[in-house]
Amino acid sequence: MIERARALGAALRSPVDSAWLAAFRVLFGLTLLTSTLRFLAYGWIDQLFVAPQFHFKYWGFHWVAVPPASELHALFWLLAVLCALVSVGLLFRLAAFGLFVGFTYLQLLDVTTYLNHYYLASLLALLLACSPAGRTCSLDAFLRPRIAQSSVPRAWLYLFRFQVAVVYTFAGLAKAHHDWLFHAEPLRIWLLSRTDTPFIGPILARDWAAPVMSWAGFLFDTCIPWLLMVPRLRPFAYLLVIGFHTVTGLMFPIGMFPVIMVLSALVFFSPTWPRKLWARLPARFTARLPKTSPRPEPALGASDRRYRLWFALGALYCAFQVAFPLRFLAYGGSVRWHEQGMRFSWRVMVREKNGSVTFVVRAPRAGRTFYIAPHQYLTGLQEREMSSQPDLILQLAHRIRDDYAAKGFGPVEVRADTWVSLNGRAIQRLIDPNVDLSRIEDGLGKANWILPEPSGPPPKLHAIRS
Amino acid sequence: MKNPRRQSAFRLNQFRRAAGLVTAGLLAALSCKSFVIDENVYTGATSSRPGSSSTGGGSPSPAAGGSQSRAGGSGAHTPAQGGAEVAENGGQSATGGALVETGGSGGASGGGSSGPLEPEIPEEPFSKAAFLRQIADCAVARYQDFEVHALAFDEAAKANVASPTDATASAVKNTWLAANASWQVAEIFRFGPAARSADQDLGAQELRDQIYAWRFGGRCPVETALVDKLYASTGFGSSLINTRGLGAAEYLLFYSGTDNDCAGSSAINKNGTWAALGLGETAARKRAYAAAVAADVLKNTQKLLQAWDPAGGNFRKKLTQPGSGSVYPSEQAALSAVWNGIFYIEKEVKDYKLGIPLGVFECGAGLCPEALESRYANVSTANIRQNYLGFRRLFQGCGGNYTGLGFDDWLDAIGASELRGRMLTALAGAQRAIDALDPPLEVSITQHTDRVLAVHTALKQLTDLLKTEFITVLDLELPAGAGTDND
Repeated sequence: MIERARALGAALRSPVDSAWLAAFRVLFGLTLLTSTLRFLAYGWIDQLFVAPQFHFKYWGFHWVAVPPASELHALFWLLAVLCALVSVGLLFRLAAFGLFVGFTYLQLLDVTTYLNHYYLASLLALLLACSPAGRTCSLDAFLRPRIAQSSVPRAWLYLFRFQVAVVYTFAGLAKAHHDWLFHAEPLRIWLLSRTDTPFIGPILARDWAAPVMSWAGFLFDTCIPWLLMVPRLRPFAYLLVIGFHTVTGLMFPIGMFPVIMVLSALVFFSPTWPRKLWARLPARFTARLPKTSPRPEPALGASDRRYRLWFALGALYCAFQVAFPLRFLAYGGSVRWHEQGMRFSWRVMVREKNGSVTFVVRAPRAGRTFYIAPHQYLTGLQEREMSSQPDLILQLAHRIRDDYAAKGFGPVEVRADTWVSLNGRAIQRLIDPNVDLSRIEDGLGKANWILPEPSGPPPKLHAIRS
Repeated sequence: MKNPRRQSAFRLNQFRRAAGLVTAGLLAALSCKSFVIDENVYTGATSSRPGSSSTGGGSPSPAAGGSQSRAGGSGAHTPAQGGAEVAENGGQSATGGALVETGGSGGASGGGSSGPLEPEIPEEPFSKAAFLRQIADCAVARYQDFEVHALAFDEAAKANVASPTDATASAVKNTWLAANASWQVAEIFRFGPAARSADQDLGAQELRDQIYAWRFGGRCPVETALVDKLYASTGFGSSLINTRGLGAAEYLLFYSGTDNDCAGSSAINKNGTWAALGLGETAARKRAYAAAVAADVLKNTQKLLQAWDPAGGNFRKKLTQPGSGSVYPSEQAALSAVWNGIFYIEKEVKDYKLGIPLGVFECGAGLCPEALESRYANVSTANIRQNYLGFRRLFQGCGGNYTGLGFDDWLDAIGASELRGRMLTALAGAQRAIDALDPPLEVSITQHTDRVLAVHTALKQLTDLLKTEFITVLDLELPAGAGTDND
């Protein structure tokens, strides 16, 4: 056992060319720079963070405050600079940690802005910040040659591959349910609304399109990490990655997600792939640039104790990445309905769910009843997100409770009249209308105030037939 | 082979001219005849509105009727099944608190009037492209209908300034009531040039607020403008929207009190300029101010029509031919913008027009009758009725008796007929509740709160479906730019 551990340790410590990590750093920095600039250009900062008068917080992070608009804009510009610094490898460690902290902080401002690929970006920024990605092909290495290195421990390569494989695998497993596999929902709903897409529209209108694409998506997500690990299949698998993400990126408003996944999948290639690619470039492009090391050199030395600490941290990280998305198993029922265990689990586009919520506020002392529409507190985007996510409904209920108490109505009861349609099914109550939400505290336990999911199949829709 | 769309546009123009002449003539005649403006008195009569009795004809009820364009006629028009039905002619009579006629397919009543302008709706199978074309024709027809009334309002207001008499005063009120009733149908068409930028409709030009800035209203800004003679300045057309539009005109024409709603510390009270006006001067200024508002409303209506006109902004093309050259990237996006506009029925109608006065939403006191939409002209109920009819025009079809393509046809076309049925049932329930709103809101809000609450509840049943199953199966999205990426 000990021998095996030593062998594993030695394997993880063995050096591999660091070119892959440098390439990843450059591409990742550029991708997040683009993402940050999109926020600035499209006015999303004001829409998402400034316009709302109420912000939903993650459990345990209620203390995270939203700064004034000017500071938010400044933060985005700062993030853009940090992205650029990460990309060129200048002040890398500081810039990468700053990017991780800043990007994560933004995500904590409002739950309704949660996106799986933002979460992935935060994780990758953290991994990058901890890695020696700034020591190869970077301005830091150029300015301080003594820190330059052309190899990294193999563990880093495996860790990045693990992270990407986790995303695909859980995204695939999240599709392993009745609606997706046997009713092709919600893909059918999405495809049928896109039948006017040039060229592929008529194909999407076919009855078989949604089932075929549902299964294709499921098989792609679950198999692609394994296909990318087989050297002989890798080029074909990567073409599949490009094709899949290009199609989904063109069809659905998923922003930078396809780009991040296409570049992330590069970690499955041989660590030397950037050098090989570089070597294939015409000489006129490469002649003026410094020659790169043709062979990996041993990694910089580090004590066994330090390695053990890093491996332990890496193992903990991996264990968390596997366990956390599986927490939904502890709650039972359909996670797509009750949403407990939905976030941070790579459940990418697995449900079409819309709700209508009216808060019924009863003020016993005043003898009054109010029907509060969420738009009184929320933007359209926030309302749409909140209306089908019980913990967010609970948060707003608490805000309403506090507001009405502050208005002098005394202790009030807040109930939610909540109707939700999952994948086109007939609407059903999401939350027990008899439960006074003002007395319920959010937590990690099973929420008994959430009613069971609908039992029947989704409706069978088809393309427009006159 | 003739181009059917060109034919349709030609027929629409022909119809527009003919209907415009007829309506203008009728309105002029009615102005002389003078309606009885029943400002404050509820007469208790309930049967004078066509279709309001159980034997009334009128247009089909939503559940029984629906679009006529569907093959098989599953929703064939059966007047006998119509039940209590609101005709789009306003149907105010005694129940509405004031006699207003915008005409209606159900025939004239209470003094006679022409029907609303009806677009030429071709019989065609459902497709998104065809639906968008009909929506565009429908929106233009609604604005053209309003233009006719805005023109009559402008002329009557000018006449009331030139030689004010009781008859001219009455005439201008009637033309305002007719214009308002027409606009309340068009309120639901809040997409494209009519939409606000805040609605995140990429075709927004804010023109609705220039015509009717309701919820941005209030007496004090108008009273201040009255004292300052803002209406006589050259910059009136670009002044704040809460000093212009149909809302300001309603106060100027229908409020006869001598007080003002501004704080004691406001300039008009602190400096005594309001008190110094005197009754005669106030009345004269109100007449002049109303005329300026009427002219401004007409100008903005023409601007709105210009924005749709193929020779002008050609928003029609942007809506009906999304993609390159349009503000909407796809037919789906264009239809999402329309859907976003018709959500007026939830936010404005259910929550603001009913919820606040009822005291169940944003109202500190037990009831907030001061929040009623048209409390000076006493047509708050009529407004809701017209909004409802506008909703039906988009949901069921824009032609007379709601023929043509509507969102319900879309549901049918994708196999969601069961949902369509439930939505039509909810629509019928809302109609029954609105019909039962008798006496009108201004009275019911204090004396029959249960009836008002019933309308609120019925509309909620409809909007619950709209916000959930409806948008799910049709995959309608928030307008472009309303958010961010999505995974």
